[in-house]
Amino acid sequence: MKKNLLFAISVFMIVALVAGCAPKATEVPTEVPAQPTTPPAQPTTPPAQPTTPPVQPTAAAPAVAPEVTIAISADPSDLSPFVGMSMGRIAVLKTIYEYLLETDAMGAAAVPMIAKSVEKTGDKTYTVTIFDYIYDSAGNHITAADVAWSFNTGMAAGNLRPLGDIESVKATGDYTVEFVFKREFGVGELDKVLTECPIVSQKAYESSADEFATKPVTTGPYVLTEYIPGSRLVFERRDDYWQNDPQYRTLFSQANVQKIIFQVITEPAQHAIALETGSADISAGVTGDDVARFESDPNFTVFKFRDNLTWLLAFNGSEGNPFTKKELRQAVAYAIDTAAMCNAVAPGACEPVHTIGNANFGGYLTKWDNEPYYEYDLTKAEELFAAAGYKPGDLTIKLLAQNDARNALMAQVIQAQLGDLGINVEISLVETPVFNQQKYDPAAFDLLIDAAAGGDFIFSPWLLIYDQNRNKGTTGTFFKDDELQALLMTASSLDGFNAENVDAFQQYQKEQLYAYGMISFYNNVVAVKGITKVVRDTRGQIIPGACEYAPDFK
Amino acid sequence: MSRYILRRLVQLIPVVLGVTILIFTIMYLIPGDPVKMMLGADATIADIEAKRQELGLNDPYLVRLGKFLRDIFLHFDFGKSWVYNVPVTEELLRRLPRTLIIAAACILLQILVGIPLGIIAAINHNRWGDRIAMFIALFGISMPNFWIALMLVLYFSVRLGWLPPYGIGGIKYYILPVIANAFPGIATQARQTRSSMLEVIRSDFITTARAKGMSEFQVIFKHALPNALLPVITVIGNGMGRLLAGTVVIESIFSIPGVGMYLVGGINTRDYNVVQSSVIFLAIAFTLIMLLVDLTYAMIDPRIKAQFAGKKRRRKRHAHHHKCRTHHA
Repeated sequence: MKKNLLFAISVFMIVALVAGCAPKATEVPTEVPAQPTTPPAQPTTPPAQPTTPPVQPTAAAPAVAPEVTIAISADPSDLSPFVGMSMGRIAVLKTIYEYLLETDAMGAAAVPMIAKSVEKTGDKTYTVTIFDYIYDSAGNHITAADVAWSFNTGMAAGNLRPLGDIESVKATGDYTVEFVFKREFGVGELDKVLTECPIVSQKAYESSADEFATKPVTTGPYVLTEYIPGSRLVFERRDDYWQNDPQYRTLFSQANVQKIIFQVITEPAQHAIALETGSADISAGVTGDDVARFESDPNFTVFKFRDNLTWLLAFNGSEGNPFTKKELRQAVAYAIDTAAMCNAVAPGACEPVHTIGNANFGGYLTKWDNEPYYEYDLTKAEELFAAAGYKPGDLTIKLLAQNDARNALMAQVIQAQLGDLGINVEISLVETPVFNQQKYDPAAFDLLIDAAAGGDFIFSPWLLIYDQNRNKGTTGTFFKDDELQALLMTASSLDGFNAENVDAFQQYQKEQLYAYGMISFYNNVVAVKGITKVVRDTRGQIIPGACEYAPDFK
Repeated sequence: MSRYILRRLVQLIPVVLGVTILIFTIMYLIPGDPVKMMLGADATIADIEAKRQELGLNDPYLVRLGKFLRDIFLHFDFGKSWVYNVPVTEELLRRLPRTLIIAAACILLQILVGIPLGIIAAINHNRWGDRIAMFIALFGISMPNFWIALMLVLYFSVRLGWLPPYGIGGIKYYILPVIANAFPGIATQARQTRSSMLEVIRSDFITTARAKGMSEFQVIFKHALPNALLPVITVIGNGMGRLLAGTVVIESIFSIPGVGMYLVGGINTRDYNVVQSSVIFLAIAFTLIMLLVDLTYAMIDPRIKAQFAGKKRRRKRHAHHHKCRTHHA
């Protein structure tokens, strides 16, 4: 019997041993990033689209810190340049790759990175001239042929959506590339294309055993030295970085730290522990009460950034739905107390908005902050409710939202507040893939809690919600309105993007209220003392090389 | 015995085929569009349609199932993750050692702690030893493993600084996850062992053993424990299967990229290839573990071992007995 017992135990020990002796895989990580410490000042007039990117102003070089560890929440899994975006990839791609142009701040014109200049040579044709001294970390010289190949490969892969607007890309010289697009572009659309596709050496890519999935060779100021899938990425500053002209060193070309470690931490509670134990220096994943704790701790700094997401309530405009009545939509908006919603959902880290979008976006008009936007008024809501032909208790509606903590709280607040108006709300919380399917189904909901984002101009979230060209002739929630579409197209066109047209659209959408912008959150980035400035890209991801560090940091 | 093992391995084929069809059908029926997850909020309807076409998602059910079965069984190709573009088999094999380490170490801990705890409880039935052991077992069952995990991190990582709070690396990275994950299993194991032992030690043959003057140690470990082990081994086998796929909470808390997190991530993003392949893989692993459990039964219980003997051997033995009887006659 002892033999038998020993046998059973041995079997399990062998399994453990085999597992332990399995070849060590290289391991991976992922995460969340950035923006200015104070919400940026808003232009009153939207910036015009440049044909040649402006030059980045020279700044005094900050101290180079020895090492920084950034806690990120998801795993990129695949670092190759042409696969689809995921939460993990977003966190690290800008540290790995360089692009033709780069956008330092929302609403700002793109600036040169690989491209030295961009010239419009026809209605749909642009010629891009790249720098003639670009080399990747393996010493490969980057030419126009590499640029054309990168774009053509990206287009064939079909994962980088803005590249779908390209008709053709070809090298017309050693350092010039001609882009022909399928249509004339509106404001910011050219930048979206030219900032989307990583530029890599064809030779290096084709020599790679795994298409750069684990060992990318890039032109960036950092080189990946260790990649443990699911766990961490380590980057070292390149001494031979090609761009030595300080006037062309964009935000993403900065290298203010010698070594960057991205550490994947999937559990939110562990982000706070990582900071406290010194195993991470920056985290955007600290949540709830932990943030307040760090705010009062002199060893940490909490940087607050307004999120690009606006949470909105969209009404179903399909035929026969009660929300085809404007008065009912307005009644609902007046019945919702967005300030109270903020207090319930994220006290101190949330604010009501005045449109679908916020002051982060280029073209946002600050005057909207002082204009009425359905501030909570139950009496007015009751009048409009009656004007729509309803009495308290008459109406039962279905509210669709994603099944997470914030959405659930927002749904509960809306349910309670519409209950005061006499509307019965049935909440339907579903997981994200189901939500993404049901939001396109007119029979699946009456009200929809959704979020709209963008990385540049105020019309970007509007296009997501309202553009009837994208959604088979209706807005995202089934309204058909030619005037709305015309105003939107004008406000987002190259010629029409100005304060007057943007405001005209805002006033019209506010009156029609096919969707009601409710709240926007702030993101908290907690950093250890010694990190004096946290820099994020327009997607909210931390750019460690551009962050600033005290001379005595580490 | 070898014929039995071979037969069980052959039986694996219909099991895997059944699981493959079942999981494919479930994923086909489950609501949620993977393409909308892949392309993001700014994808147009035209983009979505084009991608669906490219992935073959517009094909009828039987066509898709046929292609899937062909890829799996004829080409042994589990496909690539739609989200990460990495071959699923490669990713599973990369993650498997971590999950196996956790699962195997948890089982080992459960055996080393849970079984002795159960024996102590049984031989001290209704006395202090029993009460203390069962209190520990009750604590282990009542406390959710994520809470235990966070408490362990707060104490051993934050307060004492002895062990890393998360990540992967050497053995020390696995100590806290294994302890946290093993706790409920230890409790289950202890309760199961106690229950089995109590049943066995009340049997007549145990009374006989005592009456023969055997020492209590011999009675317990030579006679009672082997007879009480069968249900305990079943629990261990089930636990191993559960741990292979069910360590997702622990993997998430300790940021360990294992099979569980991969599977759950695939479900959340409707990454069909990941979910389907992971489930098939787990089904195979679970079947093999169950085979191992059955073989362990045979090692422990001669009656079961006898059943494993091949027909030929049984016929041979039968003929031998017959010959003997004839000879005696």
